[in-house]
Amino acid sequence: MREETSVTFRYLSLIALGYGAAILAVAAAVHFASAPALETMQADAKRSHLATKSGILRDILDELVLDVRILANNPDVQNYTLGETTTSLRAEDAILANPRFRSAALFDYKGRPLLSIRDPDTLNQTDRYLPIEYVEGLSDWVSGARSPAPRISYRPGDAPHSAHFLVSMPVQRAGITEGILTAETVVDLTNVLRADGDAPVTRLVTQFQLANQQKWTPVQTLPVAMEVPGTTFSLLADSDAQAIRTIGQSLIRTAILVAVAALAVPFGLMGVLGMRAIVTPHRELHLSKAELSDKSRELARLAQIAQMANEGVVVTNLPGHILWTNAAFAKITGYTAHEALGKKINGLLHGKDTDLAVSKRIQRALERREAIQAEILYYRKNNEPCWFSLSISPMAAGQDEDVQFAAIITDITEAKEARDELLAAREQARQQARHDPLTALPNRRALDDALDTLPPKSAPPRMLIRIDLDHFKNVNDTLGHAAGDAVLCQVATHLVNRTREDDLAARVGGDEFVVLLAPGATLESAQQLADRLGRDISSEMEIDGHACRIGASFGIASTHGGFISNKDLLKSADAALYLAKETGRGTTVLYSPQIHTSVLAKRTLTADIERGIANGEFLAWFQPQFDAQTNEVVGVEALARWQHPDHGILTPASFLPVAAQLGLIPDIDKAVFAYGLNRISMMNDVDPAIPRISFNVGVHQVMNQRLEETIKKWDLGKTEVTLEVLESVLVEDQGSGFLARLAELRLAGFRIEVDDFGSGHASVVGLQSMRPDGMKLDMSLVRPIDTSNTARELVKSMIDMGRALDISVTAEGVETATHAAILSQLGCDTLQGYHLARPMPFEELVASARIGFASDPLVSGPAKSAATAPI
Amino acid sequence: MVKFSLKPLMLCLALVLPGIASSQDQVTVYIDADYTLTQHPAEAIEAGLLAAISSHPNTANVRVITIDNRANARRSNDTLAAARNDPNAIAVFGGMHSPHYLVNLEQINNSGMPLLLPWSAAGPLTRGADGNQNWVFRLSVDDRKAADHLYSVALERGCQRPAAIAVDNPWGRYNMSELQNAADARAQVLSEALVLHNTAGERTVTDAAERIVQSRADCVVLVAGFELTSTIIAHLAKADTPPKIISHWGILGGRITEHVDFDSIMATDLEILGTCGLHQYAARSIYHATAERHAPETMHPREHPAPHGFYHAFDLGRLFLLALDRAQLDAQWDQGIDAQRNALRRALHNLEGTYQGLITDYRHPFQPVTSQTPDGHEALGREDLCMTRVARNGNLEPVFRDHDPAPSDQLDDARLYHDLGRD
Repeated sequence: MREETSVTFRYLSLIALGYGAAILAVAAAVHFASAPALETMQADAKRSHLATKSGILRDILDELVLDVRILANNPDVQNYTLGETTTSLRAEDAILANPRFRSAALFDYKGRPLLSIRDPDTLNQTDRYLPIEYVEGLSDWVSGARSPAPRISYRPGDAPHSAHFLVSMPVQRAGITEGILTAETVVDLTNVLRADGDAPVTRLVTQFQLANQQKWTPVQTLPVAMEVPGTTFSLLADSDAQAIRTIGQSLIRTAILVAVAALAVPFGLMGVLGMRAIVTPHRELHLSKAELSDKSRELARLAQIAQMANEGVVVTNLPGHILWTNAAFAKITGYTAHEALGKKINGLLHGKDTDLAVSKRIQRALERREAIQAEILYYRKNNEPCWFSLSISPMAAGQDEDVQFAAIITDITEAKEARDELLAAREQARQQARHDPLTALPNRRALDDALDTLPPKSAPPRMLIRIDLDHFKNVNDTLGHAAGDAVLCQVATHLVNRTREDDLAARVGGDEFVVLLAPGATLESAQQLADRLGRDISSEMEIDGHACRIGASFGIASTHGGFISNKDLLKSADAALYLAKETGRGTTVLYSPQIHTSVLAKRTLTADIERGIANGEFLAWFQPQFDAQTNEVVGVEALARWQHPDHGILTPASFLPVAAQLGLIPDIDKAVFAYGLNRISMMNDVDPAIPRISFNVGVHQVMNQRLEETIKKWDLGKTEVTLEVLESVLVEDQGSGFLARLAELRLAGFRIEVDDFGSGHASVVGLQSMRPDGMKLDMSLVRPIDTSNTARELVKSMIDMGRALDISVTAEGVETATHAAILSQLGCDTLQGYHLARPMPFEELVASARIGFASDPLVSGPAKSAATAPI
Repeated sequence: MVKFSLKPLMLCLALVLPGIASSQDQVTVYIDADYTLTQHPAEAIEAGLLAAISSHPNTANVRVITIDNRANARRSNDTLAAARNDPNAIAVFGGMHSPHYLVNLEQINNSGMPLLLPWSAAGPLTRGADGNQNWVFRLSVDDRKAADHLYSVALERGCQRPAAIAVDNPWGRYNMSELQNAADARAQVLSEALVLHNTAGERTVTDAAERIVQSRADCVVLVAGFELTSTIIAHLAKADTPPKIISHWGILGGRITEHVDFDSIMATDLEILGTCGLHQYAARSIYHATAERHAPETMHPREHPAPHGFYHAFDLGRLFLLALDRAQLDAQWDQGIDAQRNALRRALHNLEGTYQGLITDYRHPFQPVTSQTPDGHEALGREDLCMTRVARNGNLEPVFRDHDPAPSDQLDDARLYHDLGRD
C-alpha cells in the first residue's frame, strides 16, 4: 500500500511541477505581449471618464446659458438695448436680480458698450474682465452670418477648481439680433474635476493651455483631452490613476487565469492518462492477489446461501440443460441434483397441462438475454401437478454460447388455488349484482347498463315495454311472500319464453319488469309481445295448490318518430304505464305525443316547483282554531301555500301530487315550517298572543333529529308548537323507532296530534299505544253531522273515546253555524273551519289578532276578513 | 443698411440731365423707417413721399435715402445723426414708431434738422420744445387727441363699460393715461385697464382676455402693435359675448386678415383709428387720382394694409416741397446746410394759405409752438380722425359718421396744382 501511494505521489508531483512552470512562462508572455493594448484601453477609459465629466459640465453650462438667455429676453434689457428707454436702471436691476453673475455687459447693435456691471464683493479689481474678443465678430452676429447660439469662454479662477465662464448671447427682437449680452460667473467645479476615488485627475483647459500643456507639465502619462461640446475649451485627464491601472491589471489577471484554466486541460489529461497507463497497472498488480482471495470467499458464501434457501435454485445454459441445483430444488421437484444435472428442464418438469405458450414466452426471453417472471404448471417427479413461480435472470458471462441463467423456483400451488377461488367468487358476485337472485333475470343495474350503452339517438328505433303486475300485493297479502315469489318466477318464465335471445328482459322492482327489445322490433311487434305476455300472465297459475290469477299493465315507449331519445325510453314507458294503471288495469298504453305533452307539462311544473323552493315562494297561511266552549282562539294551523309569481297563491292540491312524485315534499315542508315559525316569532308583541301553532309534519320531519333545534332557534314567546301527524302515517308500518321519536318530541315540549283521524285505518289500540295529545277529526266525518244521526253518533263516540283516552278532540271542516253548535254540544274541544275563519296570510292574521277574530262562532257567520274589517 | 429707392434716383437723373439744377442745389431727404418688422407703413410712407415728389414741379434736385431702423431706437438715432452730418440732408421723414423719437426728442430738437412725421402719433413729439427750438412737424394722428377720440367713439357705439389694453412702452403707457383721463373727464371709470409687454406670451394674453371678460366690459380700446393686437383680438373673440374692439392704428403694421381669422374680426366688430383719407376718396377724388397716378406702380393705397402712411406722406411731402420751394428763395439759403434747414423750418411755419390735400384742406398747417399754440406743429386736428373697418379681403373701409365730410365736387388736376402752388 505504501509503495502504491509513493508511486502515485511521485507521478503527480512531476505533473504539478510541469504545470507550474508552464503557467509562469505564459504569465510572462501575456504581460509583455499585452502592454500596447493596455495603453489603448487605458486611453479609452480616460476618454470615457472625460465624456462623463464633459456631460456634467455641459449640464452646468446649459443652466448658465439658460439664465443668460432669460436675461437676454427680459423686456427691460431688450428695451434698453433697442434704445426705447434712456435709463439703464431697469435693465441693471434685471441683471443684478440673478446673483450668480459676477459681471455683465450689454452692447448695442454696433457693439458699442451700453452697460457694464461688476460685483465688487466677489470680483476684485485684478480680475480680468470682458476681453474685447467677445465683442469681436458682433457684426457677423447682427447680420445673421453667425448662428445666434451663445458663446461660452473660460478662464481659470483663483482657487483650484474654480472657473470663470463668460457667456455671450445675442439680444434679439423678432428674431433679429440687435445687441449682445455678456455675463460672467464663477463656478466651483470641485465636484466635477476632483479626482474622486481612483478616477484620474481632470482639468479644464483653454485651447492655448491645451496646445502648450506639454511645456508646462512635461511628465505626463497618457494625457487625453476632450473638447466640451459647444465651447472652445477642453477637459484633460493627465495622470495615471489607480482605476486606470486596475484596468490593465484586471486584464492581465484575466489572461493568466484563462491560461491557467487552458493549461489545466492538457496537464489534467496527462495526469489521468498517465495514471491509467503507468500507475494503475502497477497498482492492479498489487491488488489482484488480494481480490482473487476475496472473491473466492464471496463465491463460497453465495453458494452456501443458495444451498440454504427455501426457494429452489437452478442454473441452466441457453438450451435449458441444468448445470446446478440447490437442495430446495430437490425438495420442491423431487429430483436430486444428481438426477437433474445435464437434463433439459422442460423435459424434466413439463406435463400434459403445462401451458406451452408460457414455456415459449420464457424461451424467447432467454434468447434475448432478458430476465423474466412467470407462473407455470410443472409436474413433480411423482407426476403431481403443481404451480411454480419462476424468476429467471441471465448470469454475467462472456460469450453468448456460455451464457447461463439462474432460475429461482417457488411452489405457489396453494396460493394460486386460493386466488382462483377468490376470482371465481368475484365473478359470481358480479353476475349476481347484475341479476335478480329470485328470477335470475337481469336486474335494474343490467338494464341501466344496457340503456347507458345505447347511443343518444340510434337507428333503427328501439322499443321498451314496462310491465307492472296488477293486484300482486293481494297475492302477497293473502298467500304470503313465498307465493308472491313463485308468481314472480312464473312471470319471469313467461318473459324468457316470449322474448328473443337478443331482447333484454329484466326485473327492475318488486313486481315491475322491463323488456328492451332488440334492434329491428317495430311498434306492432312490441304491441303483440305485450298482448301475448298479458295473456300469459293473466292465465291461471297454481301456487302451492291454490289457483291464482293476476293481471299486468303495459307501457310501451319507442324512439320511433324521434320525439323521445334512447335516454328517455324508460321514463317514457313508465309514463305510459302510469297512464295504463290510471285508466284501468290490464291494459297496454303506448307512449304518445299526448302523453309526451303531459310529461313535458309535468316537467315544467317540476322545474317551477324547484325554482319556487329556491326562491322562497313556499310559505304558510294560518287558519285559526277556536275553543268550542269559550270561542277564544286557541291556536292556528300553518297550511302550505305557493306564492306563484304568475298564478298568485296556489293551494297544495295544485302542486302536492307532483311534488310528492319528485320527492320535494320535505323541502316544501321545511320552507313552510321555517316561514310559520318566523312569523309567529314576529307576533310576540301582539296581544293576545297566539297560544299554539300546528304544523303538518311527515315522517322525514319527525325522524329529523335536529327538529327540536330548528324550532327552538326561534323565540316563540308563549306560543306552543303542535306537530300534526297524519293518521295514514301511523297506520303504515313505521317501526318502533317512529313511536319512540314521537315520545321524545313530546318530552321536548311539543304537542303531538293525529290529523285526519277517521279517514283511514287507525285503530284504537294504535291510538292508545301512541298516546297523542290530540286528534283532529277528518272533515268527511264532520260535514254530515247536521244531516245524519249516524254521523253525529259516530262523532260523538269518537269524542267520547278521546275523552276516555284523555286526548283533546279538534273538529275540522266546521262550515256552518249548525256544525259548530252540534260539535260544541257533543263536547268537542276545538273547532276549525271556514265558518269560523278561513286560512289567511300572516298580515291578516296579525290584524285579526288585534281586532278579534269573531264575536261568537256559534251565531255569527264566517269571520270577516281582516282586510275588510274596520281598524 | 442704406436703401436707395430706384425710382426717385432715375427721376432725379432724368431731371438733372437738362442741367437746370447744379449739384450744389441738390437736397437729400432721409426716410428713417422700419422696413423689417412693420414694412407696410414704411413702404406706404416712402410711396407717398415719392408720389409727392413726382407730382411736384421742380423736384429734380431732390434725392431720397431710406434707412431701415428695424424698430430699434439706437438705429434710428444713428440715422438721424448720419442725416445731420450729411451736408445735403435737408430733412428726415420719420417712420411708424414713436418711442424712437420720444427717447431722443431733446437731441432731435437740438440737432437743427427738421423731422417730419407722417405716422408717429405720440403726443409729446411735437411739443418737446417751444418756438425756434422745436424741429418736429407732424401730419398724422396726435395721441393727445386720439385717446379721447377712441373713448368717445366707444361711447358713441353704445358702450356702457369700456375697458382698455395698452402695450408696455412709452406710447402705450401715454395712451393708457390719456384714456383714463378721458374716462375721468366724463366721471367714468374704465372697467379694466391692462398694460402688456409687446412680447407677451399666450398665457399672459389668455389671462388678460379672461380679466376683460370677468370685468363685463362691452368695449375694449386697444393701443398696441400689430402682433399683440392680433393675439388679443383672437382671444377676445372666443368669449361667449365678445366685447367690441376699438383699436388704435398700431395694428396697421401688418395685414391683419393674414394673422386673425375674419370671423374673430367680425365677432369683435373691430374698428381701427385712422385719419380721414379713405373717407375723402370720393370727395377729393381728383387729388387721390393724381396721387395714385404718381405713386409707384406697385402702390394701390386703397388696397394697401396701411393706406394712411401713403396719404399722410403725400400730403406732408407736398407741404414740405412747397416749403422747400419757398426756402430756396430765402436769402440765407446759400449760407450752408444749417441755414438751409433753418430756412425750411421757417418756410413750413409760413405756409399761411389753404392747401388742398388728400385728407383735408390745410390752412396754415404749421406755426411755431408756444404755450398758446401747443398744436402748432400738428397739421391735422381732431376733426380729421376717422374710424375704419377691415373688409374680408383685408382692405380697410371707411366707417362714416354723420359729421364726416361729405363727398364734394371733383376738382381737376390744374386746380390742384393751382391750390397747392399758391396762397
